[in-house]
Amino acid sequence: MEALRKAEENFVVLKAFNDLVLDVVSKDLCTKCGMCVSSCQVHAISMTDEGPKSVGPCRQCEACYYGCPRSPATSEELLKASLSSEKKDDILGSYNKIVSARTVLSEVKSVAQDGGVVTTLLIYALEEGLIDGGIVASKSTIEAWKPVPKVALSINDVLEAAGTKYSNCPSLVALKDALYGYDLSKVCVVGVPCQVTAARNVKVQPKAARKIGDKIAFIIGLFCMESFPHVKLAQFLTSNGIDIAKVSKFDIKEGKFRVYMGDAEVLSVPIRNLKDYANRFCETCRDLTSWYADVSVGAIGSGRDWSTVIVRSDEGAKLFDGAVQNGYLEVKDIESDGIESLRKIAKRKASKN
Amino acid sequence: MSSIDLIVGPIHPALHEPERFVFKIDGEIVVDVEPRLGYVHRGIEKALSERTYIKDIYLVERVCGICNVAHTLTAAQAIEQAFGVEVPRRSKYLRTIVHELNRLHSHLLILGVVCELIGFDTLFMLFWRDREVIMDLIEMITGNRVMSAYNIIGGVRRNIGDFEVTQIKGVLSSLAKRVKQYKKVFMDDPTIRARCAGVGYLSRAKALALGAVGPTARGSGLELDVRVDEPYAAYDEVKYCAVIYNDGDVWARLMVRLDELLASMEVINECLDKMPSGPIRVPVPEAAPQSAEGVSVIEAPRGELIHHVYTKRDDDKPFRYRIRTPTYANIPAVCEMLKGCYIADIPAILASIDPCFSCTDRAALIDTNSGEKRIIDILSLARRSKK
Amino acid sequence: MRLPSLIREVWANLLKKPATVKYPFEKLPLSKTYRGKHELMRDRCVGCGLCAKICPAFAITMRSVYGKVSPEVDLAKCIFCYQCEDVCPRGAIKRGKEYELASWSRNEMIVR
Repeated sequence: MEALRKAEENFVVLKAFNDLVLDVVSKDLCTKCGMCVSSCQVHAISMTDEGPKSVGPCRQCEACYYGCPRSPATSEELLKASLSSEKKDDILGSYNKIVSARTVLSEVKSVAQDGGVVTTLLIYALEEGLIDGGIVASKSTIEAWKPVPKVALSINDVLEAAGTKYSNCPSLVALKDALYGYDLSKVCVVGVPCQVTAARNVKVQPKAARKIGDKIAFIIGLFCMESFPHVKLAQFLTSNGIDIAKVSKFDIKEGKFRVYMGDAEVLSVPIRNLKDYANRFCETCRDLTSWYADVSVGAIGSGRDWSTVIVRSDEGAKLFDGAVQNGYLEVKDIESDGIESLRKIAKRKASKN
Repeated sequence: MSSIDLIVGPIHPALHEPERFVFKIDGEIVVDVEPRLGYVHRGIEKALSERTYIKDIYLVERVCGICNVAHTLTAAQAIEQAFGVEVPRRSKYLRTIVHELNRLHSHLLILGVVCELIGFDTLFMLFWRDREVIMDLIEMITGNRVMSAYNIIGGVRRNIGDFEVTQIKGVLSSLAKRVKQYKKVFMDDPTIRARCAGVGYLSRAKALALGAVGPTARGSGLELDVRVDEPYAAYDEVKYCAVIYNDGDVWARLMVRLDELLASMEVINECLDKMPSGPIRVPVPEAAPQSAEGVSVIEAPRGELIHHVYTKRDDDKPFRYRIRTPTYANIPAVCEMLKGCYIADIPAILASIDPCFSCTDRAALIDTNSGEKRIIDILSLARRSKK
Repeated sequence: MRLPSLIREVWANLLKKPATVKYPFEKLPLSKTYRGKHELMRDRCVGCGLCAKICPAFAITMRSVYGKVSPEVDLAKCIFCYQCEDVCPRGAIKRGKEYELASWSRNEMIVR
């Protein structure tokens, strides 16, 4: 009897991949970030368009469950405590400073969306040897504007991935390629808020795959209102008589979704008209500015061809200040109404969802 | 005329696996040989089908400690074939490099052993000193001197950088000079010529008929080299010519190994130069995605090595696993070589096929007529062979 | 004809450092990737047992100590392949450099 009681005490229910499916995927919470795929050390998960799928026997190490940004086990206190920032803000997350910045590299200017800050930060980090590679969403060579996860090992790879894509992609799947395939020891993750949360998760959550977290040197977050599945985006454009293959640039400016072919703007629709096309999992997200990134970068709040940069942690400051000091980026103070408009939009996302 | 049975083994000097040979001797000349196999039946094939694929890789590594890279490479290739996994090109090159380093250390080992058995202790020590630097290279790349644990299903476990490349090239260039010098010794030295040339003759026809593999076959003029015939890993992209000697004696088999040392070094250098960048491994789930079979054949240091695996769909253990090691194929050939040789030449001839027997030093002499048994240890047999 | 080369060899070897080292007093440098005795980081381990499930030599057992389940590596069984390090999602197993592992009792062979 005593032995039985003892055995019961020691009996721990381990979270398997099935629990992740039950708690996250089947509830339409899965953001398809790909962290479960990278976390799995026995390679039993693969990513499909519908979400993660089991391809091998699960050994119940719980790493996927605790690394998932939408898992009920995710502790926001730990995530918040991990950032050593001065200013605490509920809407923009905690931060050290907010500035406007843009690149000075001419090769980046020609391909970048706004200020080209993310691309330049990656180039700086690669050239300085701060990282061995970056996890980015590159453009697919088969389907136009379909983002595919990629490990950027050279400056050319980084330049190829420049420019915003408005479809979501399982970027963090590339972490597996980078850490398992290429055997890199320092990588930089670039991603939207849900992916940033996942990347921060594996750095701080004790039960997540912290081996991966050790090898993430920097996390660069992007501003994200919502994302659109590539299929639906293509459908929407086709219904407006536009072939997605011919589009040269997408943009969201002044509350409107704009599509460019060449230099000409061919379509601009208010962003709320696109609501039906957005990903369902974006409806539960309150994070616009990537709260848990080292550096968050986005267009909102700065003028044309400038990007707003939110530096949140010491690592982020090291990366960003290093890039500024070495003449990769030029900086100016953000206009006071810039922060206000950023706050307004962030509040809208937080209240809407 | 009465003949005496000379029993060598099952536990025998200089050989890595217990195996028993009963020599029918007439005076000092061996008339007939009776091998008896199976003393170290470890049940590895059954054990393999009781373990998961990941564990299997480490178990096949222990089939033979000396050519462990060859075994893991073959197993990984066979399982990848059954799984339908294509490994990255860089990992193929890395596999080739470590496989050839493994061959270098194996050949240097057996060359040293043969020199020791024929009483040339200086050369034995020189060979083993040079083997040490190769083992240091293996340790640098894989993390351990002998048990490298380098190949896994889907690629290799560690990458090499510029530092390792310069290290390997530096060591190999100095080693190549020394090997050329040893080759000169083997060509000229009267001791070696006297003990090796014309000893343990195996004709080309006999080698073919008895199914000899590896350096044993190539020493008899058979053009049999898996690296050339069925290129695996990166051998389809590097230049490699099989080393052939036509003499068919112990000396020819040793010369094949000496020349292969130089050829291996060239292969390693070429691989290092040509090595593409890219990933070193791909993630492979533990369970087999399909019911299939995989066969992999490679040229291990001792000859052709075959692994054959049956997988069962959605099962993480192989259904059946089969291994054919090169020494097994060379046993009929070595029996043929031993006929007509002197007792003192037995160790050299046995060692010349680089057998994979176990190595405890004892042999028994039985006089069949009187029924008298004498146990002699390897040292006295070796002493006898050095006389 | 062979005497000059012999003399040269003798001269070269007279002044050479020996190829061996006096082991207990002098040790060879280990490679960066050397696989020695395990270093278990208890604060990182969450006791998922993946290392015990994957270990090819069945050398790792999960033991509950003061309510925390953590691995024990039996060095007498361990084959030092470090598959456990490869597979540990939390990075709780590190390759150590210690290789002198002989001991008088089996208990001392267990890394906790």
